[in-house]
Amino acid sequence: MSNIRQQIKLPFFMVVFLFLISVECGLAEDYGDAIVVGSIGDARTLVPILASDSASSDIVGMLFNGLVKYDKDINLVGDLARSWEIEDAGLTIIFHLRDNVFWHDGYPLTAADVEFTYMKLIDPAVKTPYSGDFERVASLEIIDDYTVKVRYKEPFSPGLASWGMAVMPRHVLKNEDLNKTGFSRHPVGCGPYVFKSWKTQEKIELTANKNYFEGSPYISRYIYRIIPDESTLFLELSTQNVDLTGLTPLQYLRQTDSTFFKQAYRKFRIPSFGFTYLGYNLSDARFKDVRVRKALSLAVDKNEIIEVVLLGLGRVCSGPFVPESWAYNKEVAVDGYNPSQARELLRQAGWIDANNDGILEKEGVEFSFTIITNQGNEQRLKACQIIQNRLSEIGIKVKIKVLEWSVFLSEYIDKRRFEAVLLGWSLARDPDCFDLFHSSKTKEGEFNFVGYKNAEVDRLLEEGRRTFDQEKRKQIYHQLHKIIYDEQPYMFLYVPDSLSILHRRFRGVEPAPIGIGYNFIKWWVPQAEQKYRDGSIFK
Amino acid sequence: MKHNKPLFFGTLIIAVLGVIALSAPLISPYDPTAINQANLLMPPSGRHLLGTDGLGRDILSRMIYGARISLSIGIIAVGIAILVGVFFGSIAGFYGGIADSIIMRFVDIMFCFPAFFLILTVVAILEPSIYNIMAIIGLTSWMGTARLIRAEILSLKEREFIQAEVALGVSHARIIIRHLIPNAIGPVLVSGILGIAGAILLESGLSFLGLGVQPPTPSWGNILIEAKSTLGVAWWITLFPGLAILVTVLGFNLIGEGLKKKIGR
Amino acid sequence: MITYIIRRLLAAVPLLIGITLISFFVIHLAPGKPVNLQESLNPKVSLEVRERLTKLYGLDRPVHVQYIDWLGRILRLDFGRSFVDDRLAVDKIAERIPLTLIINVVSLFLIFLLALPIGIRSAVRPGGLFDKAATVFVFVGFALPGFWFALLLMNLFGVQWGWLPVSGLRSLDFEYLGIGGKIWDLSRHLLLPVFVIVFGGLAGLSRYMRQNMIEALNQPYIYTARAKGLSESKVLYKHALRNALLPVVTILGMSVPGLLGGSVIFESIFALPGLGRLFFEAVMARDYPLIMAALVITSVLTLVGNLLADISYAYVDPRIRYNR
Repeated sequence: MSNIRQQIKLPFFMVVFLFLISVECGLAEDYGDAIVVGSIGDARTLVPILASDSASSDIVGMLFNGLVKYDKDINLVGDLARSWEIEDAGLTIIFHLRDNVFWHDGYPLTAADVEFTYMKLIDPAVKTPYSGDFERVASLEIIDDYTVKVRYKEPFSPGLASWGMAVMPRHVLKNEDLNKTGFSRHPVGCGPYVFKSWKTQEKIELTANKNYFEGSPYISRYIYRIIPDESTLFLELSTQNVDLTGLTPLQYLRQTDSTFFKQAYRKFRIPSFGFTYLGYNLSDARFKDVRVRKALSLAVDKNEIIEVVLLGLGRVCSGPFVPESWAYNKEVAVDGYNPSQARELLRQAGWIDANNDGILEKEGVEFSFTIITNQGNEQRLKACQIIQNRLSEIGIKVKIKVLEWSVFLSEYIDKRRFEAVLLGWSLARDPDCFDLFHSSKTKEGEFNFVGYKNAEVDRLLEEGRRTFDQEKRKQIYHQLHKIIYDEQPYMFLYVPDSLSILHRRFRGVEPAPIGIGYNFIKWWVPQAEQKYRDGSIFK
Repeated sequence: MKHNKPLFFGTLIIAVLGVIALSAPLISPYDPTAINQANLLMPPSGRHLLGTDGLGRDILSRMIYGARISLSIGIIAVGIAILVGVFFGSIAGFYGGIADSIIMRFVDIMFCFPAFFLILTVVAILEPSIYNIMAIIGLTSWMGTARLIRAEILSLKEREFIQAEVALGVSHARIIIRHLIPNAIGPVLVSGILGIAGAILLESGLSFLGLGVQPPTPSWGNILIEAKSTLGVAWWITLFPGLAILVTVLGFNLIGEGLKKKIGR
Repeated sequence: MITYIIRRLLAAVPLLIGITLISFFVIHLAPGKPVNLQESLNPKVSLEVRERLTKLYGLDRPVHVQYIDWLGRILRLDFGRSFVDDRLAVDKIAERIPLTLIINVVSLFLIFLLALPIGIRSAVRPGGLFDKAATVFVFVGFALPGFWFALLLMNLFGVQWGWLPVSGLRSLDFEYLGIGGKIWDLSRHLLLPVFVIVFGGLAGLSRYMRQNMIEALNQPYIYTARAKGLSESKVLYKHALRNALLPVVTILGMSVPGLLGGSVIFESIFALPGLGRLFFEAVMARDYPLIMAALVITSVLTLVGNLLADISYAYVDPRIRYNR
C-alpha cells in the first residue's frame, strides 16, 4: 500500500470512492452492525502525527479529528473548529473551537490540546514527517479555552489545510515520549470511533463513540482486518468475511462478475489521488548521475506496465501531481520507450559492455541493483518484474526483494538502506510537495528518503507555499513539474485507478468528488440486513 | 527390466524429463522471460499450448526451463548431500570410536532441525539465489546417507579382504574409496534418487513462498505463486506446474522403489 | 526405567549444545565487510544485514565470548525483541505454539489412526487388490506437493462450493459463540489444513506399517501362534501388530521436524496464526531475533519429541532399556 501524506482525518480507502446510488428515502437509519475492512498491511503506530502509512492513517482517521477537513466537494470546512477568521493577508488564522467535543475518556477538548499538538509537531526529538508545515508558524497563542490564534512567519498557502492534522490529547500525552509511548498501541482520541483492541497482524477493533459531537455513528463497530496477502484477502471477501477492501485490476475485471458478487457487493473505480514510482537512493554513486536515471526511464515502457500490471486501469504519470490537479503541467510529456537512446546515455555515463556478456560494466563492476518493495502487493511485484525485464534488455541486472510492510518502512525506507524502491504516494489535496522533494526533508522517517537536492526546486517549493494566488502558484508548480520530470529523482510509473468493493448492505453512501468515505458516520445498515449484531453474527 | 515395473516407468518418466530439460533452448517455443502485454492470462491454445501467465509469458516455455532448473537443483543438492554424507559416514564407520561418536551426535543434532526452518533462516541471511538453495538443501539432507554408509561400512569392515588390506598397510583413504564405498553404494543410490524427489519438493515449496528461485528465472514452484491470485480465472496456471512436480517426484520415487527391489532390500 | 530416562536426558544435553552451536554458526553466515554505503560504487545490501546482526549479537567481540553470552541469554529464554513490534521474541512464539502443536498433534494422531489399518490390510494380503490400490494411493500421496494440493482443495471447497472457510482460524464472531460453537468453528477452519497434512503424511507411515507388519507376520512366533490354533485376528492384533507397532513410535518422533517445517507453508496458505506462519513472516521481515528464536525453539521441540518417543518405546519394549 502507499505511503500516505495526508493530514486529513479521512481514511485512505474511503477518500477516493465514487458511488452511484442514492440513499433510500423515508427510512430512518438503524444503529448497529459492524463493518469489516480488509488491509494487506498492519498499522505501525496510532500516534496521529507519527502515522505516515496508509494503514495507520486509516485507523487514525477514525479516532481523531483535525481543526478542519474537506467536505464532499473538496472544500475546506470546519471540523473541530466551528469557524475561523483569516487576517493580515493570510498571516494570521484565528480558530474558534467547538465547545462540545470530548476525548474518549471524558475530558473536554480545548485549545490546550491544539497548542500541545503543535508543540509536538515542531519538536525536533519527535520523529514526525509532518513538521515542515508547522515550522512555518511563528506563534500559536491560546486566547481562551476555545480560541486559538496562529501567526505565520510568512504567507503560507497550505497553512489552513495543514490544520486538518489530528489533534492529540494533552492530558494523556504531556509526559510521554511520543516515539516510544504505549499510546501508539492504546490511543485516546475524540473521533467518531473509540479504540477497543489491536492484535498485531490480525485485527484492530474500534467501537462507535456515542458522544461524538456530530452524533453517534450508526455502524457500531469498525473492524480492521489485516490479511497480508491479496489472494487470501480476496478469498475472505468471497466468503463475505470482509465488507470493504481494495481490489486488484484482475479481481475488479474478472473475478467479481459472478451473480454472487453482483448481488452481494458494489464495485467502485475512480482515479486515485496518488502515484506509483521507482525511487532511487540518490546517495548511490550510480544513481547520482542524471543521465543514468534518464536512461533507465527511457528503457522502461510505462504503457506496458499500465497494460500488464493495471490491465489498463490507470494512466501514465509525469510528475508529482495527478492529471486532475490544477498544478499538473500538461505539457510535460512522458518519455517514450527508447532503449537505444537509453544505451547511448549510459555509454556517455561510462557504462559499457566491455566483455560482451550482455551486462554493462564500469570500472570492472557490473551494473546490478536490487529493487525492494512491500509484500502482498502483486501489482508492485509485477511492475518490478517488467522493469527487471526491460532493463535486462539494455544490460542492467535487477534483483527484486520483497519485504513485510512495517519493517520495510522502518528498517529500509526510513533508514535509507536501499538502492531502489518501488512504492506509491497518496497525495494531499494541496499540491504542495515540499515534504517529498525539499532538501531539508531528508532526516530519518521523513519523506525525501531518496535524498533529492536541487536548489531551484527548493526555491520553487518555498515560493509555491508562500503564495496564495492560485494562478501564480499554478505557474510555479508547472515549472516544478517540468524540472522534476527532467531530473527523474523517481521513475514516475503510473497513476492507478482506485478500485474497491463494498458490501451492499451499507446504506447512506453518497458519491461525491472527494469520494464516499467523507460521510462514513452516516452509513447505516437496515436492521433486517445487519450481520454483526452486538458482536455476534446474526444470520 | 520390464518385470520391474516401477523401475521401468520411473526411468521412462525421468528420461523424458531429462531430454526436455537438456534440450530446453531447442524445444522451447518462446523465451520464458518474454513479457507480452497482448497475451495476458490466455488459456491453452494452439499458439500457447499451456496458456500464458499474468505477464503474458508462455507457460510451456517456462515449464520447460523450469524442468531444467528443478532438475539441476535437485541433482546438485543431492550430489552435495551424498558427498557430505559419504564423507562423514565413512569416517564414522571406518574409524569408529570418538570420531564415530562425534559424527553420529552431529547427525542427531542436524536431524533435530526442521529442514524448512533451517533453510529459510539461511535464505533470510544470505538472500535467495539458486546456488544458495542448492547448497543449503544439500547441507540439510546428508544425514540419512551418512547413517546408511556408516552402517554398510561397519558390516563390510569385518570382511577378510578389508582386514587384509589394513594389515598390509594400505592407506585408509584408499581402502575406503576403492573398496568400502563401492560396495556400500547400493542403498546410497536409492536414498539419493529419493533425495532428488525430496529436493524438488523442497525447492518448489521455497519458490512458492517467494524465497526460492527468483524471477524472472522460472521454476515450477514460482509459476505456482500466481496460482493463488488467479484462482477461478486461470486454471492452467494452477494445474500444469503442480502436475509436473507430481509426475517428476513420482518418477523418481518409482525409480527408487524399483532399485530397492533390484538390490533386494 | 528411571535410569534409562536419566541416561537419555543426559545424552540430550550435548544435543542441545550442538543445536545452539549450529544456530550460532548460522547467524555468522552474514557476509560483507563494513563498507561505507555512501562511497561504494556497488553497495552491498547485505551490509545492512551485517550491521544489524553486529548490533544484536555483538559480532565485533571474540567469537567464544559471543557464544557464551548468547547461550546464557537463551537459557534464560531471552531471545531479544522482534524488529516488527518490539515485543519479546519468546512471547510472540509462545502465543503461536499452541495452535501449531494442536494441528500437528491432531494430524499425527490421524495419520497414525489411518495408516495402521491401511498398512495392516495391505500386509495381510500383499499383492492383493487392496494392497495395489493402497500402493498407488501411497505413491501419489508421497509425490503430491502439499501446497498444490492445498490450493486445489481451497479452490474447490472454498471458492467453488463454499462449504468450508479457506483461511484464518476463527470466524469474526468467535468470541460470542458457546463452547460447542467455538469447537465447531475451529474444526471447520482446520479441516482443510489437517486433511492436506494427513494425506501427505499417510503415505510414508502406512508403507512403513505394511513393511513392518509383513516382517512381523513372517516371524517364527507367528507360526507358533497359528499352530496353537489361535484365531487369525488374535494372531494379527495381539502378536504381530504389537511388534510391528514399536518402530512406528520412533517414526512418529522423526516426523516432527517434517511436520513443523511443513507448517510454514500450510499455515501461510491457510492464513492460520501458528508458529510456522510467524516464522515465515519473520523471514519476510528479516526479523533476525525472531528467526533465531524460532529455529532454536523448534529444534528443541523436536529433541523433546524424540525423547518422548524413545521413552515410550523403551517403556513398551523392555529390551531397549537394558541395551548399552
